[in-house]
Amino acid sequence: MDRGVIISGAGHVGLILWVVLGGWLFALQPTPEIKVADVSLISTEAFNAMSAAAPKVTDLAPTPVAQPAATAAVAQPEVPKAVPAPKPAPAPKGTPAPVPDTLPVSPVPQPDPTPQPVMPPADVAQPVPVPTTDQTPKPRPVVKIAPVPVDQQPDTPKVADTAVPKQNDTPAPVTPPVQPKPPAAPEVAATVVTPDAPVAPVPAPQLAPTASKRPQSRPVQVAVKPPDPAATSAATDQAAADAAAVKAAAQAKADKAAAAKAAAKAAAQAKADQAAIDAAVAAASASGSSGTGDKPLGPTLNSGQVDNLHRAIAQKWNIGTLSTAASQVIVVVSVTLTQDQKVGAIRMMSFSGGTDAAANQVYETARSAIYRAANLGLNLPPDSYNDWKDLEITFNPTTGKLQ
Amino acid sequence: MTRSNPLTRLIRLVVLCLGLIPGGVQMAQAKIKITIDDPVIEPMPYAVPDFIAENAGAAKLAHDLARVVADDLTGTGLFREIGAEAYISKVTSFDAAVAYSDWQAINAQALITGSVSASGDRVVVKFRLYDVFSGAPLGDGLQFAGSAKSWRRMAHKVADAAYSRITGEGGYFDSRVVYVAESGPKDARQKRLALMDYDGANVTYLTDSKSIVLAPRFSPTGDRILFTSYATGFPRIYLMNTADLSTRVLDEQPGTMTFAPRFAPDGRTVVFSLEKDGNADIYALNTDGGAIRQLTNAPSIETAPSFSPDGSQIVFESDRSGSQQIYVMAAGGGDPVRVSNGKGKYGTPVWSPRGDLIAFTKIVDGRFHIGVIRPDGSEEKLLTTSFLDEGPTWAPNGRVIMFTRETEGAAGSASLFSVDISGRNPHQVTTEGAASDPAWSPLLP
Repeated sequence: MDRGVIISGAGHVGLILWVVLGGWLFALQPTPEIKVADVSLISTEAFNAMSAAAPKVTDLAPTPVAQPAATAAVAQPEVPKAVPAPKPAPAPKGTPAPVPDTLPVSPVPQPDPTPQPVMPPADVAQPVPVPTTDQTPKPRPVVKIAPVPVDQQPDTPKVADTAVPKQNDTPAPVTPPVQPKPPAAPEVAATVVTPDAPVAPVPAPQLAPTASKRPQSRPVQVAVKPPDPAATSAATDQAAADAAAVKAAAQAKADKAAAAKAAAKAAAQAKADQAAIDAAVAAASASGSSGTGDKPLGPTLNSGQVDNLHRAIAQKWNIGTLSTAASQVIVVVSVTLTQDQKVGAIRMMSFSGGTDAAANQVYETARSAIYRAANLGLNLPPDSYNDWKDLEITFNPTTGKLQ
Repeated sequence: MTRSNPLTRLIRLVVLCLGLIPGGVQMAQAKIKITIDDPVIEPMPYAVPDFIAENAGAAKLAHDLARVVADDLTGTGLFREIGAEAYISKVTSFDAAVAYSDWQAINAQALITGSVSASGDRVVVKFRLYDVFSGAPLGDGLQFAGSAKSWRRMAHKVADAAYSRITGEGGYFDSRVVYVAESGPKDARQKRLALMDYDGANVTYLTDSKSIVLAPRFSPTGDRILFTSYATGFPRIYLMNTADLSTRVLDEQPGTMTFAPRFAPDGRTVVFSLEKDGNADIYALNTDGGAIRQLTNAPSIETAPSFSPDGSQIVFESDRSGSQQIYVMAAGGGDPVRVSNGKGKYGTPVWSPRGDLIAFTKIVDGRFHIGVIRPDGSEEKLLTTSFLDEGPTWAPNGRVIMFTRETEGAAGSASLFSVDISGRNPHQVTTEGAASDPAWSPLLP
């Protein structure tokens, strides 16, 4: 071999390896996230929409009451000025409390003779049924009931008047809560979601290599190709055989057709092999040069399909009920879709910008969005299942938060 | 045997090398990654069918409870109820399995089911909350029991639990508001203290209309109320025990006026303004006795003090700079730090129960606003604007603000409004007649 060719070849190999490994070794650091400040205004449309949801208030005419001596209203920020009282009142000190003129109930305290076991009633007959205490009030614990309906739970213990035991903490005889069985529910409703559990064992991605990758005569992608010609051929053969039982001549014709199809299949297979090799080389080159490694092997979703997927979920991601703390949290969710484009599993991979509780709130809204979008149909190409089977979706509410 | 082209062999070598490097593995494990940062903000559709009446005596309650729950949730502006006419399936039993598909079909994202039984004066309410689209309950079911008269509180408790589970915020429906009920024309207005549920129900009047009352404030435990009264002709601070309505003057300082009181988080200390010789400063004293302590000493007017939730700081308004502004100082006094720096005047600051914000009244260009600002003076937001908005008070969860809105003109009257701290969902609170100066109670026990 010519020495020049060898030197040139070695130089090119070195150059290519530098390009490939350079991207891998010296990958750019991700750009830090840009913090987005709160804004205080809301658009007129959104404001009107929200206002429309507010309950209407009935007009209440002020009750006519006898007019006292004219007295200027005093604005809070200003220092009140001494004004003559409408009527001189006795000194409050040491005198009994004034009885309101229109107080509908007796001001005498009416302590409940028996303590309220579960929740003290808001007794309207008492002016203010708030106990005198120095302790900051906290909601009392209430009786928990089974988180889900339990079919035919006989002998459900009645709640005692004085105790507030958790019903589902009752020992032995209590039947553990049973997941409700939605009658005639569609497939999506029957899907069991285990957000916090590890994703159900998923077979190793078909694209994951177990050895050094090299061009193959039967690349993995070929296995996920559209309609298997063999199956079509077999069906044709079967039909031909049935026809042969009736007509012998047709048998010969069918055999001919089958032979022709077999030849076509072989030709197509050879063509597919070559295309697969080319695709493997192209994919490997593209990934290596970019250094991102994000492009999956096989027929990728085009940008329009990814946009559609994005839009389908984003349109269902409603953060209207997020707390102010949760609206600062960015959550990354892993989604596994089934072949019929329903949700197989969802889990939160990571979050940033807030507490666990706040992240869970965002995750719940994200999960709901994915379910709702999948319920309406994601319109993903069935032949690219390997591409969209596993998704990693980042939900960032900070840019769309309260305006 | 033919030798392959050098270029072909080189390509094969490159492909072989690519298969060996880690990038190949990375490539094979790649997923499609999507970032969604354009969510929608709209009320969440939900359904709350009439509760199941477990006995004949509870039939009316079953309907009324569901209505109060719906009013609570929808009133936040965060939820939108789906009417019963849209329901596909009926909830016939509290323990029956939920037909999620039927609720999905009408786009109900949350479903609240409940049951009620009434026996004599005893009412027991149960409820469950479901995430319709994931087909699972959202938290445990809960049960409340109480007297028949307290049925609205039980409904509020149910709504609080549902609200809290969905939004992650604390609830505020089971709370009360003390306010000044007004009647009569603007120039001869009668005022008396009144107490109501947060939604305007169950109004009780605490004082008569013989003397003007102002600025009622709840104690941290909700069992006492401070207010300013002109019963003696001069403003004085009174302390009312809400259990028996007994009232006493908090401190008698002859020749002075005391006003704008507020409790410290410990429930024992009260801060207020005291005007003497034309100068108002902020003072503190204990409700159970002790000497009065002066916290500010300036020739300007210092008033409207409010403690931070941890009790370490006090925010107040002062015109020491020439116009009303908001300042923060240590609870024991000391050099204040100016918080507000925008155009206009700021007043009536109130520290959020969460400690993250201070609500205030702002007057600028002839308009009144309710706004919020961080305690360090950053992120000022104006939530409302009108002819006259003033006197904000925080809901127990620090998410909603109630305030007074007064309409213009001689026939104008005051009413109570509330608004989300995002500025969304401003709406009037139903009251019996005109109302002003609201003060929200803590969440009831």
